[in-house]
Amino acid sequence: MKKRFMVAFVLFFASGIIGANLLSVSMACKYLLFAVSLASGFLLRKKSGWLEVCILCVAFFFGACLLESAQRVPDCHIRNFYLHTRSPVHVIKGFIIQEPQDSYGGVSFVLRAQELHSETSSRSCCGDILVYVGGKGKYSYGESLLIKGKLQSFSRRGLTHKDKYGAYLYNRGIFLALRALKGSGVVRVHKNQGLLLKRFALYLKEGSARIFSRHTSPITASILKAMVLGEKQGVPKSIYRAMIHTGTVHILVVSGFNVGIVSMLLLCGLKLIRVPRKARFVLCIPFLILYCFITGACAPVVRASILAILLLCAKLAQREADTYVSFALAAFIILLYDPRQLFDVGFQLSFSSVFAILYLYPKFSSFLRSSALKKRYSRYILEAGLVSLAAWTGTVFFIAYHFKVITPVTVFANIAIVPLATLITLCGFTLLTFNFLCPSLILYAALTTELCCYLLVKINLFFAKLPWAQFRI
Amino acid sequence: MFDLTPQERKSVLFLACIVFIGLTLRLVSKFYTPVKHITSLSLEAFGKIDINTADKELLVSVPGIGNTLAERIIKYREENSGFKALEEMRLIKGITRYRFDKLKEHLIAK
Repeated sequence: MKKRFMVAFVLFFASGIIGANLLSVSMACKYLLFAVSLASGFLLRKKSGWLEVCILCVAFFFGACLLESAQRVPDCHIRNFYLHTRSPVHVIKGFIIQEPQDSYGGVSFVLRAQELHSETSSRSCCGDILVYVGGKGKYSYGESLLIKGKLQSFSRRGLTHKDKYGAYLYNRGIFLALRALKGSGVVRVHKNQGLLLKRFALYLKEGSARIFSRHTSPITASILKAMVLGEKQGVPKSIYRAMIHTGTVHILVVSGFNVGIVSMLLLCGLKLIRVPRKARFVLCIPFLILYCFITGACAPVVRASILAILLLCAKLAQREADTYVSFALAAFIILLYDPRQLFDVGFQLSFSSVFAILYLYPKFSSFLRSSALKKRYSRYILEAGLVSLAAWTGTVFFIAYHFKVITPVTVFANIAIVPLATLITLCGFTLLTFNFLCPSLILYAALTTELCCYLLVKINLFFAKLPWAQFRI
Repeated sequence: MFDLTPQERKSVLFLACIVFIGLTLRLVSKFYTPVKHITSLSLEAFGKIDINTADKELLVSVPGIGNTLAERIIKYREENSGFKALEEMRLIKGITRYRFDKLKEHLIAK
């Protein structure tokens, strides 16, 4: 138990975040309890049992205080000034902090506000707002803009933090939306304020997307972009909807498997050029961080990247990495950065599925004695089914709660679709590798990828049309 | 020569298999036309809902179609013996040009 005290610490930390969200306790009270727990820990440090209890209490109240701090809007937040102005048109200066997305005949992106000008006042401000710009203008991450438009609070549009989309924006600290005026509503300031690393990562992402588009059909390219680069927008809606029906839409999300492939490619490549073992592990880490930025730093990728980095550090230190402790540490790091992530459906599904596989799969496997099967292929199919069942069991509650649907067909669909998705992901990285190392072979890799995508879509459609594929709650 | 581990040897073998399968597909597609559909995916029949046979529940599952619009589509279909082409949807009340452009990604008229 003491070996995995970190797991208990993170569980109490997460409980504190949940408790703070459910219970309305004043901020002063939370901080007081946190301080009392900390003081008790110091006083009782020589008594091992009591010390652990105090540390767990510290974790609980720390989580509560962290969420309180994350939810509090600073005085300079643009939301405070919006409430006090009645000007119908505002001019906001800021820079784009999220990659722009195509939206309803225009473009939408998140803008970090720096200045707010209205008819009556001008002031510096902070905070993020969701911006919609009509037309076909091209915008990029980090670009500094002066936008003139109508600012609206989401609550005025009937959205509160209890609605799904409202909760999604609320958890990201976005409370206002700005619709730019047509024509001269947007002025570029010709200054890029984005992080250099993120700009470089997006440059690589665009280059990789162009490689996929150049060598494969539009559907295959969109699937590759989703699986390898984390860009789901281009996937045809009919295919996306069919995957939701079968509960296999998770394959279109970049996950730990992709991180594993990137690590393996890097380690292999560095070994081929005779880089020493320890240097290979050290060099792998910044590339994993870069890949994390390329794919948009979503919860599954961040979790997997942290786990991979911890594993590499453990190898460097010649120590054995404990899976559960590494898993808990990954959750702790993510929640430390943004405790509101705990309420994000992506975070919940990612961690619950992996935890269920880690915990339930060995139990299912020993119960059914899958290792006793002599035939290799039947053992593979049974084990794949058990992994799918474990993951489904871990996520069924969250999916039913958030999406009001239960998909029993997922357990069987995953057995066929996950290996195909694996193959497609590997083909995607192969395409990128061949593009630089051996362009003459890229055509053959593209054709193989097309075949795999064709089989993926056909098999998924088959499962989607089964009568008991999905039940709505 | 490179002192590869078994895992690295498997990786090289995998790359060779990908090239072999691609080469085979290229050769076969020259002599057998249906293989061309596999080597160049299009959305013609993948997962689109047939507007002539879909029931109300299926129509409502399409983003952009609510209960009222689904009823209008079914009523139009019954009155006019089905849709001859998807463009006929533009005649239904509530389907603007913008909405039609969004809906045609999900629908097909067989």
